[in-house]
Amino acid sequence: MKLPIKRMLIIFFLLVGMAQAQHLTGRQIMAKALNKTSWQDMVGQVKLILTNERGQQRIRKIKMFSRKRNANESDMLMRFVAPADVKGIAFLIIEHQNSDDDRYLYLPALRRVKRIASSGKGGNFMSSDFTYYDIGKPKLNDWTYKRLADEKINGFDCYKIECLPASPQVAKDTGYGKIIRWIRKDIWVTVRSEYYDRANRLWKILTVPKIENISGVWFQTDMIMKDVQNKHRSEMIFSDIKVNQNIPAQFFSKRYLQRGR
Amino acid sequence: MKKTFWLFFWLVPFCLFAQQAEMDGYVKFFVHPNLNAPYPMDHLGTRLQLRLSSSLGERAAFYSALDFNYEAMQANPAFNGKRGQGLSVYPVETYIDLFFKYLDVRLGQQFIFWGKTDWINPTDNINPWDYVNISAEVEDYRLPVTAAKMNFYLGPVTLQSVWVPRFTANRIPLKLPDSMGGIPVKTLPTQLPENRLSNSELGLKADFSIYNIDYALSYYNGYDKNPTVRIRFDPQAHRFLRMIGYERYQVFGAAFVTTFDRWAVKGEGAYFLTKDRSGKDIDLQNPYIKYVIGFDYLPTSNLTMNFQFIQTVLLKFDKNFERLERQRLGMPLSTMPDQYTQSLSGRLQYRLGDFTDLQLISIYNFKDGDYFLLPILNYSLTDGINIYAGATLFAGSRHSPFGRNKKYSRAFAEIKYSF
Repeated sequence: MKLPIKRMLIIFFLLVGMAQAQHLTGRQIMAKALNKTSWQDMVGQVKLILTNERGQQRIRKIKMFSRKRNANESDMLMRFVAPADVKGIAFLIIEHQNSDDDRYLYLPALRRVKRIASSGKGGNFMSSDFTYYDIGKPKLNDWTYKRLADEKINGFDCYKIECLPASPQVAKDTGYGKIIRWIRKDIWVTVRSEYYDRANRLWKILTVPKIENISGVWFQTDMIMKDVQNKHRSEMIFSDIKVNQNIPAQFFSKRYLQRGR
Repeated sequence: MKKTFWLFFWLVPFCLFAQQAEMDGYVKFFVHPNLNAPYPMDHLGTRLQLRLSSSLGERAAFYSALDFNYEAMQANPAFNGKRGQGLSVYPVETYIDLFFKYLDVRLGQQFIFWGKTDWINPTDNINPWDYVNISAEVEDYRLPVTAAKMNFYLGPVTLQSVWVPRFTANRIPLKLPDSMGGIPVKTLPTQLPENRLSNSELGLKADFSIYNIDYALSYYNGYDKNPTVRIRFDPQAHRFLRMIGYERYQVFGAAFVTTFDRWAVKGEGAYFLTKDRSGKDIDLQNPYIKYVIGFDYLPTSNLTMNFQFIQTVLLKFDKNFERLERQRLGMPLSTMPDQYTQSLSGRLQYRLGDFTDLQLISIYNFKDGDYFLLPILNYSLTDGINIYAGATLFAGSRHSPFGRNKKYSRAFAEIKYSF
């Protein structure tokens, strides 16, 4: 049986590619996941569902705008749309790579923009089980990586990576002693994570029921974070996402934070 | 007539731009029992607040908030001005915004709050206080002013100018004694500044950031919202005459805030240049400096702590002169001010789960040991329905700043449905 040269070359490169994938280190996989095609700016709606151990729910709707200033720094402006008692509250984060982020809160009831201290990267995002660290882009050098045996999640082949803090400061800042990540091989997106506290007890589990490709960018459009220690659960559902809308830099300012429209 | 005007003013844009209009608001039931025997009801009633916001194209917007109050019971209606007993309409805010490339303009009845510290802001002198209505809502204890506000965005600097054409005084539960040392006191009608251009108030502020520190420099030329009380003995009628008026001053202010890790360090100070520049008129306030320095600390995501030190220093103060003048005019020495006063303020805010928020605001005066406490519990029954409970507590000796308000200590409970 003779195979045409072209087909043989394709098979050859596929085999080489597979062999390379097999030999990727944990760090290389994480680097690829962090450096996949992304957006320059994005706008979308977030539905945040908080559920406590008694099953009581709070549902918040947030309009979110974000822009990358450079590879490691972004700006984010969030405005509560619902429920009515928090409508109009807005939050601005100006991220800095080498210093603390600037955070401003606009409370319409107080008619003031207030600069607020951060509760650190490990602080809860909008009172949810997600921390600011969880929703941001991790820094590659903050962790050391160990590749574990590959596993399937929801039928998809995934790399399984163990991430350990590279320094005690990273552990302190994030509150995590270890993170295990499952990254889908085909699209380089994290589809499950397990977060361990600094005493190495399982703390939170992230699952991603929905991933969508929007304008060439893969988004985790439904994320569920379960705190297994206090039986609390937060779900973030994204909708109406638009990317690369050329949001002007001045939009991420105190002026627009309080304008409210 | 005035109410009709407000309603009309409020409804016209709604009708014209209904497609872009958004309406929300709240309904609340409130009970404010006084905490002194025989525990009269300070307030008992219902409020419907309707807020209308409307975009008038890309470059303009309209906002209005109106309170429809029904007060079934009110212990001190005389103190409450527009928020009267029975059914009343209270215009909270009504303004138009105009947006330009480097300039935002807001015209109308509004709140303009300056300052970077918590709760006590020496540079915040534009909107008067309503000391009769201290509760969980800012718009209850601050009074709106009709003003023109302009914000100029000049790169890293934001300049704000404010013009307030008409004076509004603080609302104070002032129950002055009818006699002093057994001698009757006659209070003459309060003298308010006339409504004319030269009596309007002006404010200027510059905001900027340098090396991760946010600064504000401000200047205010207007009226002290607290009254000046002059007392003179009338030998012919053998009685004291009490004259209440308002004096102009200038306020030069500065404020800063910076954050690092879980801390926010903030400070604010102002130099009040009063009319009595030499300190030789005992009826008028001497020039003085007031400053606040403090910090926020977030030990955990659900706990915020704020502590501040506050000091007021009277300038051009001559204790002997103050005493001798009072003796000469037959005034009690208890009216003598202190050159230095120090206070401590604290705010603790704790979020308990998804539904409960606790807050305690406190101010303590070192000299008299008197204090003010404002505990607030906010329990969210479900999204949009909140129960507020708390109290405004004044305590201290009879002649201390907070102690003399003891009789106004009250609790409050409110159920609020936001829509």
